[in-house]
Amino acid sequence: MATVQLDHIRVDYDGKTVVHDVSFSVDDGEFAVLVGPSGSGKSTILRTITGYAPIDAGTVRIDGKDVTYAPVRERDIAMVFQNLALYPHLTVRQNWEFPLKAAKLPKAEQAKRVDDVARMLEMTPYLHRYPHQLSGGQKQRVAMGRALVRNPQLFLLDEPLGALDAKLRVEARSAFKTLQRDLGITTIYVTHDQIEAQALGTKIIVLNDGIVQQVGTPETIYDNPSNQFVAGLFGSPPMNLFDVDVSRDQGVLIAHRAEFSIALPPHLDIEGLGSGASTGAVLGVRPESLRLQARPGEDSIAATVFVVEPTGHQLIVDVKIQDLIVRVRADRGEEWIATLTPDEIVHVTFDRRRLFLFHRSSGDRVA
Amino acid sequence: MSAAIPANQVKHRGRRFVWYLPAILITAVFAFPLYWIGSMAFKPARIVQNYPPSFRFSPTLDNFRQVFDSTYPDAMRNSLIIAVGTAVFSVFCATLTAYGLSRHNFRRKDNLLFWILSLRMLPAVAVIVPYSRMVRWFDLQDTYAAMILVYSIFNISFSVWLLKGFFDEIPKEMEEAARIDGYGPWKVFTDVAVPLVIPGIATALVFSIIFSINEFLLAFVLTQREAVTAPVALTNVFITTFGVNWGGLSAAAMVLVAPVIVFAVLVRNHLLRGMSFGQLD
Repeated sequence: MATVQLDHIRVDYDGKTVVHDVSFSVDDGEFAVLVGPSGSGKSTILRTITGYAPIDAGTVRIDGKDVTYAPVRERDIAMVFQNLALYPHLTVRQNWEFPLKAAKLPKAEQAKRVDDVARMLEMTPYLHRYPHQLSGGQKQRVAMGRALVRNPQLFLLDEPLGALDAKLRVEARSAFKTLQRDLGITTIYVTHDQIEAQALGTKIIVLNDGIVQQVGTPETIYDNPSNQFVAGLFGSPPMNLFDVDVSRDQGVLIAHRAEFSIALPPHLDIEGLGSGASTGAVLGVRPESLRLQARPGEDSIAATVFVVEPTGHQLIVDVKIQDLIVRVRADRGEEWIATLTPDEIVHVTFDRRRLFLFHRSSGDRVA
Repeated sequence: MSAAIPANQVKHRGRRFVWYLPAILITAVFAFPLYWIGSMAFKPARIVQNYPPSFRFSPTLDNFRQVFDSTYPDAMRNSLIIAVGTAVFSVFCATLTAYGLSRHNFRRKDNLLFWILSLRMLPAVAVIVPYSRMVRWFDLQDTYAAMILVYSIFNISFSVWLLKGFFDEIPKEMEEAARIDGYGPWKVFTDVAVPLVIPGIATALVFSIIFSINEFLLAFVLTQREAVTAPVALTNVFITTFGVNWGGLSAAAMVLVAPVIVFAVLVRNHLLRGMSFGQLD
């Protein structure tokens, strides 16, 4: 098993820097997920670990050993590619033997390893088939298997579930999580899907424009996003973000915009904002931190129902405060909520303990 | 079996036949010379030159007997050796070259690619004099080696272009996977890239063989006795100062063409896949 450490990695392509000063470490047996939108540099970072992306600055260490410029085969890495990259001219068994032959393992050992992996992935009946004779889910398992037979010290995956349909994705996801936990292989997984990242990772590394935005556990990332980008990326539906003016009134910060004003709790404090002065900021509130009431109450804001989306036991309700659309996640348990229809008047309250405030210019969170 | 065929199917069949008609006509135009050669090959010598031609005659194998009694079989053996030698040598070189050109980028690569293709565009007449001088400098007149080298100039260029297309189709992840699996560049080439372009290699071999078997002009100038190829022998043996032996000439042409046709029919599925730049699954 292994640890991975990236220190101040920079990668340039055609004179443009696509990875800026990226540093993070992955502990032994950890499941790390690199997540970000397309073009955020996540695949490039994975390729610096395999040695396929030319590194312009920084070092890559595997198990403490500097491998920045080491050839791929000295790194003892296994990888699953997005397009799977199965060898179409070889059967499943031959695909799996391929890395074992390179390692010059004895024939009997090769056969034993292949049989073990086939049993683990339930692929024993398909060993003699060619990739084009398999279903999408089976091909996916062949790709996993080719990586697993080697008992690698490090497992890299680049959007490995991308080619599967929604139901298979969820099945493959949990199967893979169990497998990783049982084998305890250090794993780095690339995805653009924040749900997948949260479901799988014990450590999440959020990227945007080639810059690390935040590193943390799924809970930290969700509960304490370090900036507006991270806050907006995680959560489904995403966090509501409103441009507001923040001013200080008798020591209390007030977030104000045309549709509503709200007094901010004491933990959101913009230092150096004097009494009477105001500054632009972004107020964030997750759909589940808003409550709908049938009757007006303390601090409630009147709104009209715009769209109701049932999602199983919960509802996503888009309400309009004047012309501002706000997303609320509501339980269907209360009968009046279950029967909401557009244009009804409701009253919205903010859970003030769960508000986020971001600087408008930098996007950093006001802590 | 019921004889009742729905009216719309009858109409459908009728329409299909309308489309077959031009196809059959066009095929007939192209197949006619083959038919003509074939029928002449079996005609007795005294009626070969009848005009108007006789379509009804009792076939004879005399013409074929003449062919096999002459030096023509030696020329066929020469043609076969040269064709196979050219195919193997040129496709081997082209596979290596195409792979390099497909995987690496460098300055003026487009110019190099165009130059390689332009070798194929050269009309043989334009280069025949310098080629014969060069062959003499290397003291290779009238040898298999000379013919294989000269034919390879034409075939390597064609095969490089054909195979580069095939190598370009291989997803780069396939080779990266093999590198991660622990293979060096040469093993990646031989164990991953080459097996994936086998349809292309087969196509290149077939085209190369057909080119060499058919080529006349270069062989006519560069061979005298030892390395004479079949198309040249055709003229030497059957066109003499005493006249043209039409029957023998036709029989010899049949003997040359028949195996090529059979071969092309046998590998036609491979050829079609090759020409469509065989998508990988």
